[in-house]
Amino acid sequence: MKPRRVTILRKGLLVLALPLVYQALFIGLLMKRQSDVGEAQHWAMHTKDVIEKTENIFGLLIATQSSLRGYLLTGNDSFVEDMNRDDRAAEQVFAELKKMIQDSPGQQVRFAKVLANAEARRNYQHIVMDMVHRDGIEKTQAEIKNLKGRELMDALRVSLESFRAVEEKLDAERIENLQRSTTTQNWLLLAGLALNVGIGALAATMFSREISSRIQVVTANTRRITDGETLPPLVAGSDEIRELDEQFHLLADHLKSAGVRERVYQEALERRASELTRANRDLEQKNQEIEMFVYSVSHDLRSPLVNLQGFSRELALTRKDLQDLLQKELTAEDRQRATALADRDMAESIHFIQTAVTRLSSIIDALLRLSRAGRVEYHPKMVEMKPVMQRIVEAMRGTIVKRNAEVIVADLPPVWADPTAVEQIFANLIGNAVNYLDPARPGRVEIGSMAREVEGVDKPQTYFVKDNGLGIAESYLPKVFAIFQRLHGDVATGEGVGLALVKRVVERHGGKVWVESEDGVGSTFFVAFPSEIKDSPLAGVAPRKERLNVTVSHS
Amino acid sequence: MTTQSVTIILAEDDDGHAQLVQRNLERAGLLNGFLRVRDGQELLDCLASRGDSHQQTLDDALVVLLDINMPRIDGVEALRQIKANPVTHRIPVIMLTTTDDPREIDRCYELGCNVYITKPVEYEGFIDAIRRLGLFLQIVQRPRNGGS
Repeated sequence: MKPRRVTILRKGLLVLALPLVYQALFIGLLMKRQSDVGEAQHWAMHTKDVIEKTENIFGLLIATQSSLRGYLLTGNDSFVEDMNRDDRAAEQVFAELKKMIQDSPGQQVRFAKVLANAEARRNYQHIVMDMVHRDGIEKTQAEIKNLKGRELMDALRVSLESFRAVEEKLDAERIENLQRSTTTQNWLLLAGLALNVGIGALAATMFSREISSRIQVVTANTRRITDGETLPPLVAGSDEIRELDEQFHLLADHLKSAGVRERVYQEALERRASELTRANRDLEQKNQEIEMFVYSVSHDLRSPLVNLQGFSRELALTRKDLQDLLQKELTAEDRQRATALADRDMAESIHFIQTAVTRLSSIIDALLRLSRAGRVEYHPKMVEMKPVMQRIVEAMRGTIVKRNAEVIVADLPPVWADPTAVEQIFANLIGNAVNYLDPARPGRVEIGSMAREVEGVDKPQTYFVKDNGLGIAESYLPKVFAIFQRLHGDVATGEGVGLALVKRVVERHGGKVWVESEDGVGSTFFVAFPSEIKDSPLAGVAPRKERLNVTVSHS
Repeated sequence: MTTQSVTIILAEDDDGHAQLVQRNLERAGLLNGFLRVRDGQELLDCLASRGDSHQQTLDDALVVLLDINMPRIDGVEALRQIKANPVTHRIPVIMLTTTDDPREIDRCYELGCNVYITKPVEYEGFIDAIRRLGLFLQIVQRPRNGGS
């Protein structure tokens, strides 16, 4: 599966092996040359031997000649012994020579001639010795000149010389040959060594260049990784350097993806931070609203309490006055005064005490209702808005007719919300619109929807209730959704809790409610629902706290 | 006690409170001239109409008792407008309210109210406050009497 890897070790071994193989071949060649030289040397020595033996024979033949002469002159038999001994030695050398020249046919021919001459010479010697035995030394001495011993000897010498000359010529050739061989071998040796060094150097250079250049690429890659640059393609090859580069590429990829992940986390963190900031701002606002709520509630509770305290005290004073009157005889004037105290003062005090109690009771009722609005469980679904609006308008038909008003309901998109809550919201808004119409002109209430970006509401679905009623003074606008605030206290009844309730219910749906108004011209209330109810940032807050913070806003 | 008539205008949306104030002023003998309005707007309208017809007496014969939480124009806004108007800015204004929020008190003094009285739930305190108010009103009038 995986291609066979060429590791640095293998490359190194290859670099070492190349010169070694070359050296082995070279040594083989050298040895062959050496054996050639050895043969040349052998043949040179051989020729020298042949020449030496030729001279040896010549010397022996001269010696036999001398011995023969000595015997002929002195008749001493010791000469004969010497002659025979030398003859036998010559015979032996001839036999050796004959073997030695078997490689050269030309020399064999010459050698045969030498042998023939030597035979002739020996025959002469035998003849002379026979003559000595037969005729005696003196006679032989006389006869010997006729036997032409000298001529025979000369012929032998000539043939030997000829043989020897050829052999010497051969010797010169062979020595020259040997010298040439040696010189060639020397040159070959030098050239071989030079080539060896060259090959070694070349291999080492190629090896180091290939390794070092690729290592430089890898080193540059590490720097690129540090600098966060993109890496070039992988270096060529399949060795450890390639593997190292692959690892660096992997590392770079890891770093890159880690960087991407880090950026994603960073963005998520920033998003979270901004969400937190927003939630914090919301909480701050809610906190302010709670403060205002508590302030408002305490004021509103204190107001009837002042009446309760005051008029009960008044009652006590009146009772004391009456008691004082009743302690003496009642004159007509006293009777009139007593009646006034009872009818006027006491009745008035009781009336205000009752009013105060009713007011306190309704405030507590309103608080309970508000609290319930924060607690009740919602079951959101798609709500068709037009039927809801028509139902509300129908329920208010009497008031609408009495106020001479006209209510127009446009086509409305459905909304994802709790149906009861939706009805509660719009019953309040439409009720307000109808109740606070300007009696001076024909009333007109419009209910519609619009597409509009709303900060803090996801894909808002916005509805509005628009009237041409009394309107709201600018200085009063910020208080519109706060609890127990009543602008037109004289126009209609109520505890001032309706819009606070609306705000709370809308906010529990993750939506927003706001108002645009012009004093004396009319008001438009807007309600924006998110397309889907999502968890609000306060979803995790305990119900009790959540209840507290929903409410306070204005009206 | 001076016989100079002083008109007290009470701006108060709560009928009971108005009645209590009126009764106690009566007991303190301060009910020479008493007029009650229900909110800031009515007060300003009233001052404007008096300003037109009683230019001579507007400055020295009027005292305004002003509640803060009222519909339409509230007490603080009414105070601001009275003190911002050169015709009415010398009228003494006494804030009379259930609120004892120090910030609210500071704001009223900044706007130029002359006295700030909280309506105590405790009745004796309330009567005492009204009584002190009566004394105050006498002091306010004395220089004018001496001068004339």
